[in-house]
Amino acid sequence: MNFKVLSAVGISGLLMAGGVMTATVSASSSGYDLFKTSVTNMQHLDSFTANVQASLSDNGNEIYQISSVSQMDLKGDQSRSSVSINNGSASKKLELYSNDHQDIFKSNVDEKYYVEQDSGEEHAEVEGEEKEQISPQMQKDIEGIFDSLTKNYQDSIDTKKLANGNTELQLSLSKNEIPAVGQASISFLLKNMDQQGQDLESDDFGGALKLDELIPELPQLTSNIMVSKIDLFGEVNTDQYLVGQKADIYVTGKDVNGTSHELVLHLTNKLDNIDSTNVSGIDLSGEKVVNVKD
Amino acid sequence: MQNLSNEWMKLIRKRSTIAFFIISAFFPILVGPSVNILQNRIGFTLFDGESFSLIILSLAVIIYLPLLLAQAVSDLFPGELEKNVLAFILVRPISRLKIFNSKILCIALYLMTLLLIIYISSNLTGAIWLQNFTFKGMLMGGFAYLLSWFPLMAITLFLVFFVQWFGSSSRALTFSIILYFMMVVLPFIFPKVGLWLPTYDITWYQRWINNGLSMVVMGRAVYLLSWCSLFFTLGYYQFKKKEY
Repeated sequence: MNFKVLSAVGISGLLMAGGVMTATVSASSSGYDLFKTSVTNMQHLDSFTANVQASLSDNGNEIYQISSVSQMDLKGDQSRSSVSINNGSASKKLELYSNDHQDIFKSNVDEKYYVEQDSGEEHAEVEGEEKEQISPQMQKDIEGIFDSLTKNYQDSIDTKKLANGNTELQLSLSKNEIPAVGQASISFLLKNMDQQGQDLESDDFGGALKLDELIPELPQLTSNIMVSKIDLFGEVNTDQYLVGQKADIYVTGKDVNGTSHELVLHLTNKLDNIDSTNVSGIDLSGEKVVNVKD
Repeated sequence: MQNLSNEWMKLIRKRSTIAFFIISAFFPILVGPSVNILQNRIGFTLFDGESFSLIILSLAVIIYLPLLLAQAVSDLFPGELEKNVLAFILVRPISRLKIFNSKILCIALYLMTLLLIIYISSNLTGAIWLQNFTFKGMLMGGFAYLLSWFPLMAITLFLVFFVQWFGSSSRALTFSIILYFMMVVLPFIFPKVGLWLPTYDITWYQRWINNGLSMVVMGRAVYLLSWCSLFFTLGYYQFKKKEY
């Protein structure tokens, strides 16, 4: 190989390395790596309290609202949550408690506590299997696939330091930036949301849940359904846990009469009391208890 | 440019090339109406006029164009060796560098033409069949098509370097296709290796649309250009030292 060829190869090789390094370093300075670490860390959580809020508005009017506070103890396999749902015309408050051998449910409609017994052993077995499945190798593989799929978005994540020391991550996607798969699945979900609600009336707790009353009264979008914007926020605390998530999804479309609607789905989730949440049990003594069978 | 028109004529007069031009033009035109009918039936607008050319581009750069390029590369290098055409060119009083240059330039033009054909026909389809066709979308599309030329050229030069080891075009084509698909799959298995392959950037226009000019995009651009120069040099070296 003569000198010219060698030097050309050498210079291009060096430039190539420089290019890849620059790209990699600037990509990792964006929030993507922090996001990944914080998500991975979530696997090691023992307990937390989650405050979840979801609302759906149609042309600015709120038509559906869910808010819930859940105490989760993953180690002790216990959870307790109170949920309130408002679909504009009806509202409901639910109280749910579950541990490894029973599920307790109460709504604000009546004073009865519905108790469903679980065969505990079966439950524990399933849990064990799940934990075994995520080996470090598998986690790495999943990470690899995730990295390749999101490569065009990784450097779009903006970071911001918040006053409380946490870091805020933000990803905004406009219509042309949302991949077609995402477009399809969100549009599909929204279009079929009312049908999905019907599936919920399954006989959990002997039908006492009556979730079918709470189906959101969505405008029936029939044409031009399109996700126009997605804004995602995340908050990572100093221990690198993902303690806050927020998503705003904007969907536009037309109903049968040709009126255009803009639906905005707004989701927030805040975690606190990480690893220091104690799930308080429900005292059933002196209460009306209805035993429900599977 | 010496010998360029010669190479271009050889490529363009092939029946397969003409067929590929026609297929490229008709694919978006046929997809457009069927997408429109489907969308009206199910109600979602996944493809509107604004983004239709981008959707077509993403299909083209991942599957369609690399295959056509592999075909062109194996025709222009081992194919000519096989048919004993190359010897006739080599006896002309032109340096081997110029011959090599003209071949690469010819493929580059071929790729440009293919991109242009797909761009025009997908925009026509978008304008005629789909709603919300905008000038902004057309500009953005044009920009994306231009940008896609770079990673595809990088892959082409990579293939040029390898196919010169083969004496028959069909073997070279098979090898190129396998090589390309390996490069596509590899980043999913080893993300670290993927960073060093031009297939990582094959949809990099999305990055430009998402972020505009950023350090990451600049770094990847430097990488692609130096990859091109590296394999241009290596390919030329192969071409020069080879005895025909």
